[in-house]
Amino acid sequence: MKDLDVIVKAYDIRGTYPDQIDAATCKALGVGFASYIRANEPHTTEVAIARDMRPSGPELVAAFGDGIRSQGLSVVDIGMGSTDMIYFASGSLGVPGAMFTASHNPAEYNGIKLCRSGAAPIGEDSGLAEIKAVAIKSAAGEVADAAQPGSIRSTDLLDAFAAHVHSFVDVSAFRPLKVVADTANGMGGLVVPRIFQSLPFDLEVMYAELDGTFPNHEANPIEPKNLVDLQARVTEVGADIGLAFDGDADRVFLVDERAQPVSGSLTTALLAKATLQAKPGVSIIYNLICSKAVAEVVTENGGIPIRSRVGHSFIKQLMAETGAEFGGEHSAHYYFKDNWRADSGIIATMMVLAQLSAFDGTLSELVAPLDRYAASGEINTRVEGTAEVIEQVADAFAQHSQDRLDGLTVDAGSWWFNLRPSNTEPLLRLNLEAADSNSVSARVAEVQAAMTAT
Amino acid sequence: MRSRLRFFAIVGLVATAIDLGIYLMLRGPQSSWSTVVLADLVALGSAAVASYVLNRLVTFRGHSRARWVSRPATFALTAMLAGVVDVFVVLVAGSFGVAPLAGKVAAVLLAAVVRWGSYRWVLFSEVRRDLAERRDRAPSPGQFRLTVVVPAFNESDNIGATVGLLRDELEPTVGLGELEILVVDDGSEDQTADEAERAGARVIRLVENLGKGAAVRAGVVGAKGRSVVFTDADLAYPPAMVLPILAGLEDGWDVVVGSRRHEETTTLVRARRLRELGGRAVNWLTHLVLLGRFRDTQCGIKGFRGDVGRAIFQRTLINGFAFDVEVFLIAEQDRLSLTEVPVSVENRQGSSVRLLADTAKLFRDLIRIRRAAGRGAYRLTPEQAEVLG
Repeated sequence: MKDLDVIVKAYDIRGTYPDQIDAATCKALGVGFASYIRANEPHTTEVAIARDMRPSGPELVAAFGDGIRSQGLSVVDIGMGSTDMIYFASGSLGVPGAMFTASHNPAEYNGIKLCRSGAAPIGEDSGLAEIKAVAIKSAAGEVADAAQPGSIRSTDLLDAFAAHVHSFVDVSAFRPLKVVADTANGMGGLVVPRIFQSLPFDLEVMYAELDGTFPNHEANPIEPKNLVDLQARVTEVGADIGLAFDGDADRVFLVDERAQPVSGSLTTALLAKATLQAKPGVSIIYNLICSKAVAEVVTENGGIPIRSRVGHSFIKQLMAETGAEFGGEHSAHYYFKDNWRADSGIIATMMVLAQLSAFDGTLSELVAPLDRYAASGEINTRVEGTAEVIEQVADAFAQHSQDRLDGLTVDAGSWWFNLRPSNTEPLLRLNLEAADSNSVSARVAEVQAAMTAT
Repeated sequence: MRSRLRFFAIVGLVATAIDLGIYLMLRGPQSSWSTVVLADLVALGSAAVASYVLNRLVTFRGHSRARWVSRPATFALTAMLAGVVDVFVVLVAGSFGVAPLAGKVAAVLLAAVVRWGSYRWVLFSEVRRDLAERRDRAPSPGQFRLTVVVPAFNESDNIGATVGLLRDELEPTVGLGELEILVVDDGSEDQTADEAERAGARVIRLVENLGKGAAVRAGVVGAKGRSVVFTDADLAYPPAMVLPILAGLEDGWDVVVGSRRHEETTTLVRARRLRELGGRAVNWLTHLVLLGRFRDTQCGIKGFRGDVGRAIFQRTLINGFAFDVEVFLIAEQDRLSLTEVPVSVENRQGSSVRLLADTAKLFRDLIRIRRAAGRGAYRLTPEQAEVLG
């Protein structure tokens, strides 16, 4: 078996096939997952499994399923789907789920995202470490099979998933908008047309063929270079909105009718506003990298803004603790309470289209009132001793209000920044927001000077 | 709602026109008092029948506040009472030589006041009956027996002690590991959240100072207790006061509110006279919104069954002090059971309540609540309806 320390990350399992992750490893991980579920959910009898379009998917899923069944649990095979579909399966069927995907990573990668029943997250501190430990034992032949192996059944959840996604909006109020979706040869190619099937939109899907080699561009829309084709097409056909999905279609980025990208922060603000129109007064979670405009918009619309650390496990946990209705991240992850607090790009898409349908104007006009500040974007700097550098910067800006929710946040009133370390590399990530782009450049230089001062 | 009000106004005008028309037609310019009384009674009777039929058929069809038109006996009694007043005024006016039309108009106005008062009274008693009736419900779900929600703004000096006192007072009764203390830091500029965490409370941190209503909403919705009680961070209500509220909730009440005007309430430190008067004015103002008569809507200690509390606070909108009124409004509307328990209170000097400004804000919020109720903002969602049965 391969080295699990390399592929088991903080929130998922990921590696290159076949040198880092292969069938034998997946079988052992299946045993580990089943054993964890048996210990923590004694009444659970089935596990749902889905995969994206990567060529290594079928082999790895089959091996993982063997591992699951060897421990007496049965397998519900969803076939190919998006990551938000496995959360839907887990939530609606009340079973744990395993999604085989490496998200936006290149074709040679594959991986597994796991969740407990009801789409409850599994990470290093919540199950992944135990799963890894049992997998190692299993590979060494130290885990006995159950007396009665589990069975396997297949099911198609796409129609049920479409109905669930539609339930977040009033589909009868949609306007016939022109929509271009770039699914980047990822799972959006399967899911997006099905969700749009019965809706009055004029939909054009680019790169819809499922192809794990990503022949057109990398399936990672947070990179501006991967939006270029979509932007060109939006201009060419005069679309009202462009949608860019990532490889496993759980993230969506928006492009307005002028082919300008709409940031994750702005989209979070728009979705928060939509949520508060339907349910005024509820709490909305946003990560601390998001624009200050998000909190302002939430307050203006009667809601309660609550700040979170960056990362889906923190957002989901905080949503559970506060009963929040919606959560958003600058990275275009959008979480919904009524979606078992899991994130879904396609639900976010429906809510944006509902907002745009109800609005007498264009997408750029719709988001203009929410676009209040200029942002630096994430600036990564390689440094020696991230913790020391953060203290050094904290001292340099000691006159301003600071907090340590995630790395260091300094709020100087008219501008603010967050500086946080990467979990895996000697990197510091700087995000800064100010009134306009000139102030942003000036302040970024100021913070960078504080980082490098000796 | 607007159209309903319009119908109500039109029906009122039609009835008044019938009343005036028949009265003036039947009595001549110079009539004996017996003719006057007879004319007035026939006019009133016709108007009452017309108004009853029209309102029942059109205005209040299927409306929850239409309780009075659905009770013919109550309606008749009210109409008779108003009729007696009407006849009396007409006669008195006549004996002073007032013109018949002017006399009748005065009578109609006074009778309208009497009628309005009686309708309110009838509605009060109906609502009170609803509130006094406990319903059979399955136990509320929740991880803890009790969550105490403590909204706090710039309380870093006191919050640690408050959390400690609440725990010491309550844990022996509630049980070890069965008590959740949830401090909601309402955007404090000091170390309130850190101090509360250090004292062992769970903390929800609001980004900005939004107001007590928002903080309590965030707390009750996020609470994990089967019962939830909120109280003030300065412990104006002694911690032990939580226990009778918890007892009430576990005895089957949906909502248990503290009442400072209850006969048994002891006020430890008399509030300044002006503030007390202010408090009464506030309570009186709430009649703009509420049907029921509550002794003390603004009392800062209230408890809820966990699931009921969440279903209520998922719908509240007011971030300021008037959120209490929303709670009562929703309780009335959802026909929840509600009881009051007496509480002692220690009114501190230097409280942050500013009489005039706060009363004005409260007034504005009450109007907001009325409007929100009018457009159906407090209606139950299907999930909430399931919780409340």
